[in-house]
Amino acid sequence: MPENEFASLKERLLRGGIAPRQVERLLLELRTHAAALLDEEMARGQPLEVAQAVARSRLGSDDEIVRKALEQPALKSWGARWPVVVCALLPPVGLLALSVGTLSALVSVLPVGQHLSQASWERGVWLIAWLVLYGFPILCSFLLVRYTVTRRLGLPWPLIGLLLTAALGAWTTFTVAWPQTGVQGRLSAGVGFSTDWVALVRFGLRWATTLVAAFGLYVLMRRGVQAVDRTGDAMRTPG
Amino acid sequence: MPRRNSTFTSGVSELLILRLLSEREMYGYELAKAVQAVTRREIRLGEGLLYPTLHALELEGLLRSRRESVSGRPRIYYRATASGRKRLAKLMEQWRRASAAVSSALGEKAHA
Repeated sequence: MPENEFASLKERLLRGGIAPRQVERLLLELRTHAAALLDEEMARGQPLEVAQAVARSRLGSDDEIVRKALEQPALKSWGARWPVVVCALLPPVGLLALSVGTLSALVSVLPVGQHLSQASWERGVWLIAWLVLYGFPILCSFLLVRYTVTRRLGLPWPLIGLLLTAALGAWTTFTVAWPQTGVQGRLSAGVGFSTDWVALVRFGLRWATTLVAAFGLYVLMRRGVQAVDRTGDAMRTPG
Repeated sequence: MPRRNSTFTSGVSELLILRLLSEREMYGYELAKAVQAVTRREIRLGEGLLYPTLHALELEGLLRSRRESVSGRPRIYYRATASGRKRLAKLMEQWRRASAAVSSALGEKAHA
């Protein structure tokens, strides 16, 4: 059987909400089964093309296999079963947890890092500030985009999740006051909104940065999926 | 090739799979052959349709699987777990009751 024999079935299963891990396993077993059926038909003396057609027919049509798979809710991805939670709520909550966790880790190492130079501290703190303000929102958005594309999910809930994640990232504030003679240093972070136009422009830029990066990845990944679709179609088109 | 009756067989496939896999471990192709043999080819379904049911039963903890490569081809062997055997007993009981009820109904009609 050609390698891309099941490309269309794969796409239909993914679009139906079947989890990619389940789809891969199903296709692996279908390929193995089809090969065994082909051997059986060839052993009966059928020519290769006839044997291939009979083997494929004995396996069941794509419609039947898709219908059978969709009857099993356990095979569906979390995103297909609970799109609001997984696509709209989990990314911003995940971003919040990641930022709070990182800042908590930073605060917890402050007492044991007293011997480090101020320059080392500055480098470390600015790296964490960059991660919290830009890195983590982009990371969470990328994970959401990847999840959406690989599971062929509909756009509305992931789009809401992306807008919320980008907004939360843009609203996050992080300020550092380095210790000076007689004055203790201060580290503060939070989520805040200001009507000050400078703050609004800064918010808009950070929001747009995350969105542009996420949409860029989305476009690239969709092109990859479409290229695979076209290859599969070309393999199935006679002549 | 005999005509498939997927509506009739859709509820039966779980029962047959659990019945056969409670006896011994099998992989998909082997199981499809066994289904045909035990049903005397009366129940004919697309052989590929077994896999979604197998995977769902495994996710429910009614089957467990192991992977093995034979002559370069991957095979996934399935067998029923203790929960799978309990479910089988329940399904068999339901099936016997339903079957007895249908037989009874057909019998009454035949005598009417």
